[in-house]
Amino acid sequence: MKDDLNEIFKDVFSLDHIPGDFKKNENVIWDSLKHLTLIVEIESRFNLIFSPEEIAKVDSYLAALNLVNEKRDNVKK
Amino acid sequence: MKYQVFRNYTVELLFSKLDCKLSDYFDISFIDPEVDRYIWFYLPEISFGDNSEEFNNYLNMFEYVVKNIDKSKTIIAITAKRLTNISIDLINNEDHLGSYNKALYTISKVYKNVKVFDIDDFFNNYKLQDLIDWKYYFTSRIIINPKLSSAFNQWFVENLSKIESRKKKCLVLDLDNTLWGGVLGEDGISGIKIKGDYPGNVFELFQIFLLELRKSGVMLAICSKNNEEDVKELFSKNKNLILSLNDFVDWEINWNNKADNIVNLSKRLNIGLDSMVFIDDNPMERELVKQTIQGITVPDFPNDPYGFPNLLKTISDYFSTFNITSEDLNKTIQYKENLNRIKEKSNYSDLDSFINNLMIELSISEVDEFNIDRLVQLSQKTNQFNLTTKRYSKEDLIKLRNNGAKIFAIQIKDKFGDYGIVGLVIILFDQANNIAEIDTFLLSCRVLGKGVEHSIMCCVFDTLKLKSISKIEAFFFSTIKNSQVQKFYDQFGFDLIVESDDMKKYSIDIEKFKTPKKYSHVIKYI
Repeated sequence: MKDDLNEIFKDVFSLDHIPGDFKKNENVIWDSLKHLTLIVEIESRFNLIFSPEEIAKVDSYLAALNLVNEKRDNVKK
Repeated sequence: MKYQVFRNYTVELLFSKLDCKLSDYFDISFIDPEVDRYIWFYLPEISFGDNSEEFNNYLNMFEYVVKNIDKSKTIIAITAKRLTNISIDLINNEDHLGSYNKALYTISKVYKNVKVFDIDDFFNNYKLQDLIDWKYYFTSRIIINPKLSSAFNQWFVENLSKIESRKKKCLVLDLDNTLWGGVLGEDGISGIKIKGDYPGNVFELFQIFLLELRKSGVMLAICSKNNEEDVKELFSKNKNLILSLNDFVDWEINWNNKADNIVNLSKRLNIGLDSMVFIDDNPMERELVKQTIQGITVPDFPNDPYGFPNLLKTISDYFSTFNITSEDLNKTIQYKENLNRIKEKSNYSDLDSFINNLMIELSISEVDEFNIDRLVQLSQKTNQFNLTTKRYSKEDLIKLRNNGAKIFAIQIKDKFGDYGIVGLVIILFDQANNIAEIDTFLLSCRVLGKGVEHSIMCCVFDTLKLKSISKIEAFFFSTIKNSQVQKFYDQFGFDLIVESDDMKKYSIDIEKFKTPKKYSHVIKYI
């Protein structure tokens, strides 16, 4: 799962490596359009649906990772 | 290949495979002369009543763009479609949409550089309920489900390649077993198969098709291994043939190498080999021509006569239905009259009259408890039309106001609708010296291209005059996103007094203020 998410980040931001502390506020390339692309990709890849509030909360690589884990746990329950 | 997309929705994801510049929503004020092609993509607003006015506006805007782009550049218009079936007056709405789409086609008949893509061609593959993801509609103004983006990209690019290959001019045809069934030299003038039962009916259909193609301006030529005299005799005697020899511009009927014959044809007709398409039932001939003549198009030939319709489809894709020939001129005149009927309403002769036609209304109010959250949001998020890009929190704004700053919220409406609060201006005062400073001047990209920034500046200056300010200072701080406003203050008569790599400081005496353009915006102070 973590690898998949990493791949999505690399694709969306066209980077070879995503640092663990990759954050929206610290990276100008993470603009609103990239944000959208990222969310759409994550939703499709993991077959999840994020609420608008959750979409706004994805402001770092870690936040995305935690949210995906949390949502997938909920699905399993 | 660079594109500019005129749009009213967030369509960035749909064109992510192209090198694209996007207009602002509903904005036709900036037509980029640097791009190679334009795309027109307007989809209806979600509405429940009569939307004739909406489509009329789009059509006027489209015509304005078509008239103002370089005629040598292609503009691709995508037809509109209602993506939801929530409607109270469905019949009428569909009507307006239909007239809009029809008008796009009509315009494309008059202007050769306009091509129309039928969006149903794409949407037919999906169910209506899959077309919109309402979450993305309400959060990002995305009307086409982002999950369909990559399929849309692919559909669009495929259509583009069709446009590009439609530059063929001449169809070069073999005769035996291509234009008719059988071999003339063996079966004789009356023995070849044309009309009647299968497979004669297939060749009949092919000739009917070729005749229409010829009428549309495509040149037909013959390249056949036969005796020229036999062929001439056949055309004069066999009444079943649909085509006559006059329908062909030229021919090479002899026993020479077909590649050499085609080169001769291209020289005599003075057209490039890459604008020719060669049809032959013999795979060896096709291979020879393909390998020796660079640029020529040689489609596959059906294994059985009943497979001909596939070939017709291929041929029809190669030859333009867009290009207008002299035979088509009469049709063109009819189309033009039609167009004028559709377009009784006013045309925009220039951008200023377009803007004045929008019935723009600005409401200017000072910060209060109802608008402050929106102002904070604007301050935090606005990147492009933002002179200083200072990010303020709610507390910051309250503090500024308590210290005497004027904080203005600008709300904008036009005939397309209400955009809400889309502008923020903050003025700081040095009352002792009668100096004011424009601390923040920003506008959401949703309202750019309507000249509202000019009207806002006028309001700012009017307000400051009342406060006996004599001098105004302003700053531009450069960021990676705001280069479009780097010369903003220059046009109002400000003097540049300090300049560095990422900053410019301006100053102006209040009487020296001038506005480059005056629009008929309605201004309300609340």
